[in-house]
Amino acid sequence: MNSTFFGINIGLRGLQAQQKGLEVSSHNIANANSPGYTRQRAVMQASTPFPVPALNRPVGPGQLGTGVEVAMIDRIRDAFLDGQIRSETASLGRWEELSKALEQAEIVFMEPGETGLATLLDQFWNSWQELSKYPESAPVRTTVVETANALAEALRHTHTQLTQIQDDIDTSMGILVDQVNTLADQIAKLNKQIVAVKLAGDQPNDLLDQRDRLLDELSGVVNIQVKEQEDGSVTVTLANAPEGTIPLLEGTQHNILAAAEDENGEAALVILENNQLLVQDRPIGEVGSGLLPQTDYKIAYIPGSPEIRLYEKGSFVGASVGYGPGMVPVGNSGEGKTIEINVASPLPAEGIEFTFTLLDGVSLGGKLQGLFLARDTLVQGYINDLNKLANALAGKVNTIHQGGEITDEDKKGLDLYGNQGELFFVKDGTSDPPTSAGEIAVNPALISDVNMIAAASGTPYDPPVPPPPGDGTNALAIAQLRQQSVDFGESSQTIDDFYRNLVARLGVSANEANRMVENQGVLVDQLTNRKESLSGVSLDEEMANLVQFQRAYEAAARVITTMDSLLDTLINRMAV
Amino acid sequence: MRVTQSMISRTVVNNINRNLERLSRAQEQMSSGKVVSRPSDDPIALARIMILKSTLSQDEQYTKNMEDAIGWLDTSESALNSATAALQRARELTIYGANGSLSETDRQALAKEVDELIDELVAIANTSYGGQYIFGGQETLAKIVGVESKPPFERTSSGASEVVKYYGDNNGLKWEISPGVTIAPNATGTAVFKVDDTSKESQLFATLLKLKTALEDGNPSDLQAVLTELDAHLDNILNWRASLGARSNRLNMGKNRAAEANIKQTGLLSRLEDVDLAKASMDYAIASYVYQASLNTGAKVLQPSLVDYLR
Repeated sequence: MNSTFFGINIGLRGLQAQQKGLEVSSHNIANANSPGYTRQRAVMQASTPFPVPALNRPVGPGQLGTGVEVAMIDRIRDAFLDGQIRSETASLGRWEELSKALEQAEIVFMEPGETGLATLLDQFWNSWQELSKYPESAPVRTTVVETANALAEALRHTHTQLTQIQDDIDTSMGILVDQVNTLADQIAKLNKQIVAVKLAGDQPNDLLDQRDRLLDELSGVVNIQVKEQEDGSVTVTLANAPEGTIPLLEGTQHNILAAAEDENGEAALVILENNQLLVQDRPIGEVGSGLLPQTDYKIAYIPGSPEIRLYEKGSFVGASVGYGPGMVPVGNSGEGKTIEINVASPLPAEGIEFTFTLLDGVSLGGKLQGLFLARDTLVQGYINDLNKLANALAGKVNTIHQGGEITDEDKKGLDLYGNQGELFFVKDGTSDPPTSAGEIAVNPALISDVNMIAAASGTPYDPPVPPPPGDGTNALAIAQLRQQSVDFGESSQTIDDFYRNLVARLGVSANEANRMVENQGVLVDQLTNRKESLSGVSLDEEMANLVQFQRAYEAAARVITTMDSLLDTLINRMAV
Repeated sequence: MRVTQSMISRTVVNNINRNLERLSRAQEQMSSGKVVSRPSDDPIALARIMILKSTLSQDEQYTKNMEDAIGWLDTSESALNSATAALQRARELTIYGANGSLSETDRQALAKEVDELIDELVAIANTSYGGQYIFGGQETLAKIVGVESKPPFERTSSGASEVVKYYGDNNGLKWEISPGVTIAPNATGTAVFKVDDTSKESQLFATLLKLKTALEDGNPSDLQAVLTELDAHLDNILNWRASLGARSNRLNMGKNRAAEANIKQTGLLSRLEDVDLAKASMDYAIASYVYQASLNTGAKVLQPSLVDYLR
């Protein structure tokens, strides 16, 4: 037999459930523009009916509904879509960074233009042609030296600027590595809160949204794999890290990503196992002498900053201490190799041992991968090619300038005094041949005395006998280098062609990167739209829901009024 | 598909951005006048543009070399023209001098004229063009660093007799006029004025000096030999004039060919590199129209929603 007041209770439940629905809708409307917000829904279900099967169940037809209850407040979200968006965002980030770096490189080369290296090379060859015609003319000789000087300067400048791009990339890498560590730290903290809420049996929707937003952000920097654990926490691993690599973050613990420059000057990325010492806020300061065998070491890790300096146990590796934010010198690193991190006092005399895993930056995905590729593959490739170009140019010109026409061994390059020609191009500040584009320069002796340009060819005598002043055969031999194929290692081509190919390759890479940024951008947009279509707040829908809940609320209130009037009849009118 | 308000506004913003970017690219092309202003704009066209530019600059240099060589050759030719005239006059004087009825005074007068002719020919042999002696071989300058030397030909005395010494050499100059092709823009004094390799004395001048002596000394019998030698020298110089003229012709043709190639290549370069203004302005107009349309759409994004109708 039901209680007399049973109906009121059903009405009450209705009121409460509809009110909750209204509140969830209000929450959705309020967050319509919050980034990363996922719309929520109060999942209503009929509460446990009466009576439950038992021996003492009342006689009568059963079961009778007991009203409604809100089972849970759910988020409408598709985890699969999240994974897709993250992997595409990583790809977008990669191409974006590549495109940025290549755009800078394009500005460095300034081709096709009137001021690029191509024009200077043209002018260089042409000046030797002129000299072959007028070897006795001092102004023509000066022109040769000046155009060569301009060419050498441009080579040096281009080299410096390309190196500058790498330095900029180092800075960006430091910032990104820092960002990864900060995000991992925040996610780890959220993990902790989420686990606590879940333990209490609630649904931490807004915390989950926050965590997803952070994961999205993280996925742009580096390609990640997110695995949700049963307790509600997520484990984040780097998607392309080698087998057995420690995860970036697991539960409430996050490990540390550190960028480094290895002994080949290439960027390296390591992941360090987090240590108790590192999470504690250690004071920043100089390492006191006497505490360590190496007395001049500075702080190895500064909490909240990306600066971690690594030292191989016993000896300091790499000369680039404090190389850049996040860039730390790493030794001949390898998986599981022990390195030493020195932290501020009190320091154990032995240092603290860490294991770290060297990651392959080129397969990491995300912005970090873009930076790695740009720094060590593309920009470094251009620098190498520029060096090859400078060395080939200097080598060939020097050979002829000193040796005269190669066909005749007795003949040497002769200057106007009858002396054998010196090196035309030298390593800046020395009298050796140049070894890279960064230090190529015209021999200063030739700049101060243009008569020392060996335009003639002949036999040098002691004491020197001046060659005929109109002899420009050696100058012509140098001018004709323009058409000569030079061995560049993997290929043999003219110096001009080699340079043109270099610029064309840069163009192709930059073109591809720009196109990919556009394509990936569209793809990410579409996926985001799909996610938004599922998870976004539609104001129309929420308004409709509001009306729906309002009406249901009114009806539930009417139920109570009706019950009230029934009871009024029962209690007040039935009086004897 | 379920559509939300923020989806619409994001799409609109993205599209406006994309259209603005397109507009800015069209604008850049219009204002710079270049289709390819950085390598990534069109890597394939870039490679061709760079080759064309380099070829043009190289051909310009070759044209300059050819023009300079034509100058040299023409100067040499006109110098040899004067030399021919002087030698013709010497020949006339020889025939005249062979006439036995000449008085002593007349012969001395003839000898005097021959003497003047020799000086004139030395001056011709020392002709310079742009400061360079054209008949000196590679010895193109009288003065080089620190060393004072002499012009290619000098009339001087050697013991009792007079000679004309040659201080030049027998090296032709070597100028490049197209890849791998060189030309000598000069005729050396050795070849033109028949300089003896060992004594460095000009045989042409030796003949004239012999003529002068024969006239002074009144030895008409020597004059027959002089006449034969003069004819040989005249032939030699005429041959050289023909050879220089042929070279000059060849260079003129080469220059014309280069000029034609230059026009074609410049045209090709322009087609590759320069903006087709009609097309660019069309592109710009379209981009601008599309941009405005997207802005217009953007203005209507704040559409009425159900909120407006629920009272």
